[in-house]
Amino acid sequence: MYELIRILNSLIENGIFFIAVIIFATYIAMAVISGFEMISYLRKNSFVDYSALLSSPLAPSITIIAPAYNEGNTIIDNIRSLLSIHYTDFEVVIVNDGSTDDSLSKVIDFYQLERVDYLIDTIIPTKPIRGIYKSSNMAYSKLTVIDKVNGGKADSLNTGINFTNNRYFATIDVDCILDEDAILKMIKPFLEDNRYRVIATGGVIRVANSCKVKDGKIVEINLPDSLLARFQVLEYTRAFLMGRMAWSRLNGLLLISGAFGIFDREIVLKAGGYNIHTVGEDMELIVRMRRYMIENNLSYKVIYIPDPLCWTVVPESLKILSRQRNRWTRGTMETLFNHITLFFNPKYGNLGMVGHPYWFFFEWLAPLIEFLGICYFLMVLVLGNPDWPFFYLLLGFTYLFAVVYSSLAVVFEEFTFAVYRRKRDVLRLILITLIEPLVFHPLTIWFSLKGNYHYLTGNSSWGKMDKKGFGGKKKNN
Amino acid sequence: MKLSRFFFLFIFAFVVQSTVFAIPSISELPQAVIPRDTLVQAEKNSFLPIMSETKHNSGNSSFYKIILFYYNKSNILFRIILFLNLFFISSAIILVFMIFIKRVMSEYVIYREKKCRDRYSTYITRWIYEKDDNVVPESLIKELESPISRNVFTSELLSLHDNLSGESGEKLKELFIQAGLIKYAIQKTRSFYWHVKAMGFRELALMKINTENPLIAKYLDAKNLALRLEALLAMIQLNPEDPLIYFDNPKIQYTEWGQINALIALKKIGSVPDFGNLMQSSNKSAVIFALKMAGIFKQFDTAELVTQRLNDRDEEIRREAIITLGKMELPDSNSNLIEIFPNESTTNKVEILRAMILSGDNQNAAFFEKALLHETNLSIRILSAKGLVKLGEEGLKMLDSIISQSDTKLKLIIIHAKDKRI
Repeated sequence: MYELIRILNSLIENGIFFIAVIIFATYIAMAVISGFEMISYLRKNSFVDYSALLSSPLAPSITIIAPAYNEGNTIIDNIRSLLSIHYTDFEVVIVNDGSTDDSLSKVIDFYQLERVDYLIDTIIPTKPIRGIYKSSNMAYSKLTVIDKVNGGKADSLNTGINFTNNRYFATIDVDCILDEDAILKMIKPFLEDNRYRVIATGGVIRVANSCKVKDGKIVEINLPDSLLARFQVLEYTRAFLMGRMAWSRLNGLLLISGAFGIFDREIVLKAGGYNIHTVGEDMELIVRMRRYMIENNLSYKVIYIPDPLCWTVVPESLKILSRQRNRWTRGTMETLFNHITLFFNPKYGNLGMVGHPYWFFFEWLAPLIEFLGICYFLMVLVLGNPDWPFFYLLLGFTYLFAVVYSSLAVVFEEFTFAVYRRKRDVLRLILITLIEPLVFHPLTIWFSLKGNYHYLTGNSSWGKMDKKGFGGKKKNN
Repeated sequence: MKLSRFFFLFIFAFVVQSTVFAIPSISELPQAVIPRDTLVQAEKNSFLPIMSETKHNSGNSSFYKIILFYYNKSNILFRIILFLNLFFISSAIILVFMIFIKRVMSEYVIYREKKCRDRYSTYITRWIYEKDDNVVPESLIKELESPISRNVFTSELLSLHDNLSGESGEKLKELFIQAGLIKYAIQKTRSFYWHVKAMGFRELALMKINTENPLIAKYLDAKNLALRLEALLAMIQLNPEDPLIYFDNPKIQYTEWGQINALIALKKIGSVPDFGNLMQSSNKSAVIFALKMAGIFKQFDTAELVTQRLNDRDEEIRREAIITLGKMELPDSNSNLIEIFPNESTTNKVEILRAMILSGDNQNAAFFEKALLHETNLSIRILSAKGLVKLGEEGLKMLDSIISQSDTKLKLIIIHAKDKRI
């Protein structure tokens, strides 16, 4: 019995240690790859004249699809922001997903909308459409509003995809603010290489809390006042500038954030559109599109743009953050398990051998292993006699690694886009790197555990999100 | 400071600090070494004795002595982790310093650039408008040896040159040569780095200096797409008499992005070349480009060649030919479009209908009616109905007669097509 416990003990200790070493090594590799990719991107970008695309008759048409549910407090400004982006040929489609507030009536009044008899080709089945509206004012001729029965975000996006005939469409959360050049920068990868087909592009999502917004545009970028939001600034910077940039280089991106992405409509339709039975519809679609391309022997890429193109308000309360992370965990699990056939499947190349296993071990399993490690340590603390010097050394190692990795993310940010102009904001960000591993990281582990529990117990709700809109307007959905 | 430099600095810092930490480790080595048999025994017992066993008793001593004690008694794993911790601490400090040094340097560069820009802008304007026999002073040539000054001067000069032509443009070219910038531009074209090379191509192209054309032409099929594009754009601008000379190269596939930029470059050189010859190229992307350009510049002389391409084996080329005929709005081509319609893909059928709507020929009414009633694809049917609406009274009459005896879906199609707001 003693020997069994000893073997188990050794397995847990060594197992956790090895996984930690692999995770740290992977992070370092990702940082290096991201660095090279970033240099390459910035060099290439220094030659690009986006005004060429802005005025060109050869620029492709694009549809911006924005699902909206109970966005009454902010929807007017948000639509104005979408209509003011710089692009030559685009339309904005707002899909009102059966809002129970006054969103629709507000939009109808403000944008002088009239009901039109538009016939949509229902290629992907969706909930019934109650009405389609166009403006009688030519100034808003690019705007279309579709009012439909509530069916969720994925269903709304599918409605928008059915509506458009354009080759490319962008999806955006209606509460996000796009940079004026966002579409120009995101559409370019679709046009610049004919050796492969670009099926989707994604952009960096930046935190807009405490930023000043005027007429639907960010006019002053500030670090958030809320500590919780600051943690998320660091987290987003790390994830987008150091994680996804590397995956883009390796053509292994499994996720284009639902907040903002551009897609090739033909491939989306062939892949079957958004899955309405998952809360991680954005990730699930990318995985399915990639599978479609591989299964049909088509050369393709999913590209990621590091420019700060899309700004969103992140949760400032633990309750909302908990719901958001819970949903993300469930979405990840649903996608990973729905596509478990990819797991170490060489037929799917990078997707099967690298992408899926990475998400499986490092995005889904890592928080569970961390939790197991903590439990194990507590057990040793109660039952045994911990080797304290070694414990402190390991704790220090983990903590310092996290600090250095986050600091490196801040350095990436500073040497590339440097969106925070004020020195004190940068100083605060550096201070955040010191406390984030101790405060925010444990919270995310806990939320992830809750997500796992809810997945196993079959809880599939989206979770009510009470977010503050831009300028502090409260938004409920 | 550029990101690449930062990486080199980071690697350098890593090497330096590794050496710094290695020195005390080596100096402590005699007392730090654990007897080999003890270490082997420890590794056998537990590969990684992480938390569950107490191994050392430090006793009461100073912090430094405790650390030293553990270091001396520790196994290799302990030492590695300790070393890594020290490495992380120093890395974090270095990274923070780098952030602040970068801030200070950026501010300095911005200040210098602003100062230079104001001066150079005034100087260049005076050069264009005030003097006849200008000579660039030696002091300026010496000043331009500094990369910051040179970059600002060059960018000011190029941006002004981009907006000026004729005599003023020639004067700016003279200034570019006299100030010695041509030497730097040529040096750039020979650089090892593609982005420096591309910048050289751009500068020479904007200044219309064609001495390096053979060198630039070599990069028209470069593997690096950005460099290839810069070479192509440079060659268009440096060969205004025959800008398409390099297009008919079977090795080069022109991307959509390349075509967008090539269009701008063609517009800049002033005269529009004849795209007819390129339409007969064996290079698919060159044919597509030529078809697009013929449509944009409405080169009606090429209509026959465009029509020939309606029978091309490649679907994409046929589609582009259809779109081009639509842009030319030539009613004569409708019979050809009607002829190929039945055997085309849905996408091409949609483009045929769009092209025919643009030409607005009343003779198409029967064709639109047939497509509306017999095609199954919704987009094709809606476009057919729109085609009838576009024909005016005659088309509307036909729709009214169809709607009275149609099913619900067809009625909805017609209502949709008649709604001008859609």
